[in-house]
Amino acid sequence: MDSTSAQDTDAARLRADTTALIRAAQAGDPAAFEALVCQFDRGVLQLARRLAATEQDAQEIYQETFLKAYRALHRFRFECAFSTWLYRIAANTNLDYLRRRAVRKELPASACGEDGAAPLPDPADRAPGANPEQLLLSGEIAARLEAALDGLNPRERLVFELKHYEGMKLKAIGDILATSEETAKNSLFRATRKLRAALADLHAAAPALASLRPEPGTMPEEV
Amino acid sequence: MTCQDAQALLRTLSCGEATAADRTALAAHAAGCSACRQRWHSEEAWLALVAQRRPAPVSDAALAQARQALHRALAAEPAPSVRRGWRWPAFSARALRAHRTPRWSPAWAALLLIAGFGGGWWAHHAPSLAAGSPAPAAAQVRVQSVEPASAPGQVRVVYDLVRQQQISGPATNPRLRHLLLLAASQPANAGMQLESIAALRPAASQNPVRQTLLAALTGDPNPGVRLEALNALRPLVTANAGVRAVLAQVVLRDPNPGLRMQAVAALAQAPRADAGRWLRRLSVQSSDPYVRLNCVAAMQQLDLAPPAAAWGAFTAQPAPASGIQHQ
Ligand SMILES: [Zn+2]
Repeated sequence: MDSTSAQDTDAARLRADTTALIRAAQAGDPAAFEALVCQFDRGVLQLARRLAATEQDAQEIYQETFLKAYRALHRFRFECAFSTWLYRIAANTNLDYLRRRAVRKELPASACGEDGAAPLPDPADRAPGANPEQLLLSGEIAARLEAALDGLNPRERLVFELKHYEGMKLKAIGDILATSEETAKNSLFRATRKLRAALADLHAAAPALASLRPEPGTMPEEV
Repeated sequence: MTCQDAQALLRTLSCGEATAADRTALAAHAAGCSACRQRWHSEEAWLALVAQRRPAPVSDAALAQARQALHRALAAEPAPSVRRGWRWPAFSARALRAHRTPRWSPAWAALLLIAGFGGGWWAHHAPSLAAGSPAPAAAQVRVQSVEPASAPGQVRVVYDLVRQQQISGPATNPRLRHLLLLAASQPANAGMQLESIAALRPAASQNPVRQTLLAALTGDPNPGVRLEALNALRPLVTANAGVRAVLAQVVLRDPNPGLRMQAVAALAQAPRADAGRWLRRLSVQSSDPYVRLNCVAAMQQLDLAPPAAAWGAFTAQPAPASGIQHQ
């Protein structure tokens, strides 16, 4: 068997397993629901961490996503991939969070109930092995990019994240947002236009940035 | 290719959806068209800029924390709607705590796991059983309350119906594996946790198992369970820097002195340079003089010079315990 057909077989087996788990969870088997959670939750938490202001917020988005999925599981009718269905819930939960945050940002900081939750560590702190000068530069760029992303509206922000950081196809993003690929593409273009305007100075100096593209395998080992 | 075609490809590139063939076609056109070349370079530079932001991947520890919190939240959820006619409660923690199991041998645990331990396999019936219906077998029933009914001379009994299932097979079976992972993280029954960890031990290097073991090592209230998790993780110390970082946290934070020593011993098994780095740091930062002494002894066994500060530190206050970095 060549590697492609082996992969196909693995994919088919995974699909069959997932289907069996969904049916068992729909019949009320809690262990099956937890097994489903374990299949998909890393991606859900990752997306939340990219969008949330603090680790605690990310954990709350994660939890809310799966609680909503748990409550709505009986309505899942296998009309789309389970991952699409779940990501749709995750996307809506993240959008709600971003909208709430946008409202809170308009209030003075003292009214926001700052709870002292630690912000996510700077990504530049977490890439051992990279040249320190590069880290400093890329850390600064990442911070500017982060600030510019905060200026997008929730939907543009989500589309940009799903496209550039989750690596999803526009078609899949359209499915998740219950809209067309074309609409998703328009949101992406609007987001790109705003970001490029906000980062015009960096972008002008950008040819040198190509050399800063992350090398595969430079990320820290997972704990 | 016309400049208009090149523009369309540049938009595809900007969307992050350009294929290798698209890039080759663009390069061919750009070689002879300076306007498109400039736009192309600008587009590539933009994508490089976007790629500068790359949050760290989700750590196993963060994922374990999220799963545990979710587990607790689900336990508090009312039973979800179920597609078939009957209802199950979600992760009935109360039922789990009420459940007591005999201690098993590890070999037996690997072969057989009563699924009832894993996740609240209780039928939380409030069925109106007509008095004429056949009574369920005594072993399946747990009576919750007995009270007078509204009509005179009648009585109402509320009971839980236990539906026990069992599943047998090698501990590598995914379903059994999942149940073992659940059982290993149920602090209500330490004996069951120990057996589950023993059954999971051969798979310690695999991701969900490692997460569960790390979560047990850092969060379980029972020191015996934490020790069992530490022992299961020990073979990973040489290859996994994340495990070493967690062990260092155990050395600094675990309330049990025996466990702190075990963590020092495990760290000493790391590759020499790494072991030296951790032991040196802990020999200064730990607030426990015995830990500091042990670190120094372990360093001497590895022919490594302990830091001068460690010698003076056995009786003095330790250095501030902050600032320990994950390696
Ligand atoms: Zn041209």
